[in-house]
Amino acid sequence: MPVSDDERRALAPHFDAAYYLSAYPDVATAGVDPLLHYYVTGWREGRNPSRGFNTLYYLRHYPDVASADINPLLHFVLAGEIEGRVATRPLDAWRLRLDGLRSGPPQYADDSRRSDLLTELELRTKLEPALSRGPLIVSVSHDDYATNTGGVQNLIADEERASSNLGWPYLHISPAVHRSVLSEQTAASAYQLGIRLGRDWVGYTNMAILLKALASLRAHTRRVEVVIHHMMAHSPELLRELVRVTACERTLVWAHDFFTVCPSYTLLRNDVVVCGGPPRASAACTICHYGDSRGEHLRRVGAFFEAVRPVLLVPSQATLADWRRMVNFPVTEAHVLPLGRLLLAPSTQSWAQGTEVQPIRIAHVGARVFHKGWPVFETLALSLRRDRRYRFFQFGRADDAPLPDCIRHVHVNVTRDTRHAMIDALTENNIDVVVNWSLWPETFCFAAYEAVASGAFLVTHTTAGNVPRMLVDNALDQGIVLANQAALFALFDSAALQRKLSQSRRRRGTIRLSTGTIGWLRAALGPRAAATHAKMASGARRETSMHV
Amino acid sequence: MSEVCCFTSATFAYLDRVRVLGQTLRQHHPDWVFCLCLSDQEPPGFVFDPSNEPLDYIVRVEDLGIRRLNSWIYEHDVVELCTAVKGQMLVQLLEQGAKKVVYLDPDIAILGSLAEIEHLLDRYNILLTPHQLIPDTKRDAIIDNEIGSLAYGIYNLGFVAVANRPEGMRFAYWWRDRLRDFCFDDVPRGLFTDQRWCDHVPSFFEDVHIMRDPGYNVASWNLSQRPLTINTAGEILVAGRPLRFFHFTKIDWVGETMLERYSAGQIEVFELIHWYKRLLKKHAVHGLPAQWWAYGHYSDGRPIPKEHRVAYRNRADLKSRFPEPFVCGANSLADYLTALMP
Repeated sequence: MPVSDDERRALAPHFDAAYYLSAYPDVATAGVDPLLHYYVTGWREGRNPSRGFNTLYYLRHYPDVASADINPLLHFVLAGEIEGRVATRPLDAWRLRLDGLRSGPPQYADDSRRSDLLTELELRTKLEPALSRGPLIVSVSHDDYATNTGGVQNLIADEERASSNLGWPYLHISPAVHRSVLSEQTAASAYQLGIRLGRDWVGYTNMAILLKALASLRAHTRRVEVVIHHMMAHSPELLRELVRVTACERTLVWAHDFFTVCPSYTLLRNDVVVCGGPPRASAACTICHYGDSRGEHLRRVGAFFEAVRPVLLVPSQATLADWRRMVNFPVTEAHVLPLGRLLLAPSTQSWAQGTEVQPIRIAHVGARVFHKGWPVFETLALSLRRDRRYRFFQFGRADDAPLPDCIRHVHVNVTRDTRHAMIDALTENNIDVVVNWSLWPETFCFAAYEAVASGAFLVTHTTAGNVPRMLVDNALDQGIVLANQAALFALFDSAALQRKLSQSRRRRGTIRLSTGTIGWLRAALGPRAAATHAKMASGARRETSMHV
Repeated sequence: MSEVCCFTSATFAYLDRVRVLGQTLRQHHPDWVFCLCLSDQEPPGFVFDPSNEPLDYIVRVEDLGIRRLNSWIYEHDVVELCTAVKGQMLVQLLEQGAKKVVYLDPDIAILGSLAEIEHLLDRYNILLTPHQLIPDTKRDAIIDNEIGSLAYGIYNLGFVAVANRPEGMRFAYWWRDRLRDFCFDDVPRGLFTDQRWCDHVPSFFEDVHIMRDPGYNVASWNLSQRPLTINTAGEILVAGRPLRFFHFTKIDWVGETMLERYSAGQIEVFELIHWYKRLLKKHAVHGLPAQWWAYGHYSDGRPIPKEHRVAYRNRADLKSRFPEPFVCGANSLADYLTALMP
């Protein structure tokens, strides 16, 4: 059945061909007219013509339309919209997250176990030459930082580089099998892990072999420092054993997120709303997907803290305050170590006027993922798609979520060697405003720092963790902290955003990365040790700057 | 017997809901006695062991002492029957000595302490929860909620609590008698099972307390005026008060449509629904044939149409001629009504 010219004209403004072809590659492969495909068969197959219209929802919600056997988008355009009918499921992004929650405990496949494990002798042979050079840093995190990308992975890469520059051997341990929860309590011989020494991959082994190797090599090194960046997929009981066997000077535990508080490391109750880490017995925990496992999780992590009494390192004051409010695990000391700081200077570049000729360029920085606030940004862009004052962008890696045609993607991949890539991309694309609507309490949000360093005006909200605190702490008027989403939409609907921009003094600059764990350890070792290590580390960089 | 006896009423098809109610009730009130009035029989091969359930005991419909039982059961569809037994069950528990009796629908889950109910029954004879506590202002909500309550009853009888005092007993006997004879879904005639009857209660009985705390009996029909929030202390609040129990009526597509309309853009209600669905899945009833209800079909397996039940209940001659209405064969009610209403 061909679509008439009148119908095509009616549908065209509501049909997002780029989205359709991206969401349904089989249609793109077939090389057919996407609008015609949707008009004839696509809607019957439950496909959506844009991010703003949900075919199945419309048909289920309005049985009169379904029984009329009419194309639902055509019905919406010709009648439904005027009748006040709803085109998409309310809170769809949030409800999709709820729909995606697994029921029951995670299942692990036994066939994921590796057989290519290093023997104790092989491991000792590989480690021994390095250990005599200086204090050994034993670092623990949830994956192999060198082959995965992300904020924590970049930070560990920096840490390895700083450590190696000082001549300190850096031994990194990651789980052989990734899982989003603690490893079950198991024998050391049954727990498999991967090992990296400096930047070099050593191989896989199990915890029993590693512990034996470290025990026998202990005499070869004067000092061991254990740094736990993340316990995910690890067994706290085996980490206690690691601490004991290494007879380390101290154990540093980082709180890069809230995994020490709850298996929901973003503190998103049911993966949808930030919960604030209430008591385990609370009604909120009762209805949370993570509630059932949280008690045991807290018991095991708490027992680790009780036994080890580590030094707690957190990347922001906001996080430390939250952590202390939520758990009372004993620590020897707690320190706030920001991962970087802003260095800004006045900018002569003026803000866009917010006109058809000079629209305000608005960006989401980072992946199109829920907890980074993507659904809020996408909804904002969709609601303002016909507003000529604005143009919307997403900066980050391309991913699977198809983009509506009102948002332009700019590919950026920040790696350990291209740490300034995001600031450069935002600057080159003249981004005026970055909406940072993180839906979890950020512990330290590089994206927000990158936004401000690029000269963008930052729009955020009160419960985005470290992000609003960053604006306050830096006394910046280059941003605004809003109370809720209603205030966000009101800001863009009205002329308030233009007014705010005109009142803001624009600055731009760089992020000076901190010296992190290694810098802290050098200070902790004392002036003499620090001097010795500084001499050993000829050519080592004390700080890394990201210049614009 | 314990101070408080709580009961619910269901068939095997709702056993998953009964389990959730029992489990959540025990979490908050392990000292309350919890029992089930069961209006069903096991299908062949299905084993029901109450000792494995979060129940203190069960009472089967045939143990309620109802005269001409099969004839009486046949008059009712499944919802009507599970409602009709509530009056006799209440009387039985009070006569057996329960000091305080609380009825809860099986599709309710407990999320907070119900201690206030115990305390109120020291002062009042009967506790009721209205469907709505605050007038709606929007036309759609007025039609859905206020006019809905005018048709189906002011009070939601998913909850009622009664003290074992003479006035509480008087209510129990009155309610039992009415439900025995008139517990039908016949809204045009002013009947909606047990619920419309209770519009009379504040007039007929002394010391009736209408619970105005919005935390009790929260459901799709009152969410428009009871915004549900969850604070960082982990409390679930309804219009600012702690949530006590939520009534998960219709958690299917139709129910979600109502929730969408009245959830005020808040995800918390959907979190609650998702939690409840997770629990239902966890407590699923295994081995029960789909759509099972022992009284849903004739002895030869034919499903019983609603119009057969309506004809039977309205015609004394049929009741007298066919005292065993489920039984098929020569001169059976099934054949007679099938011929009459093909």
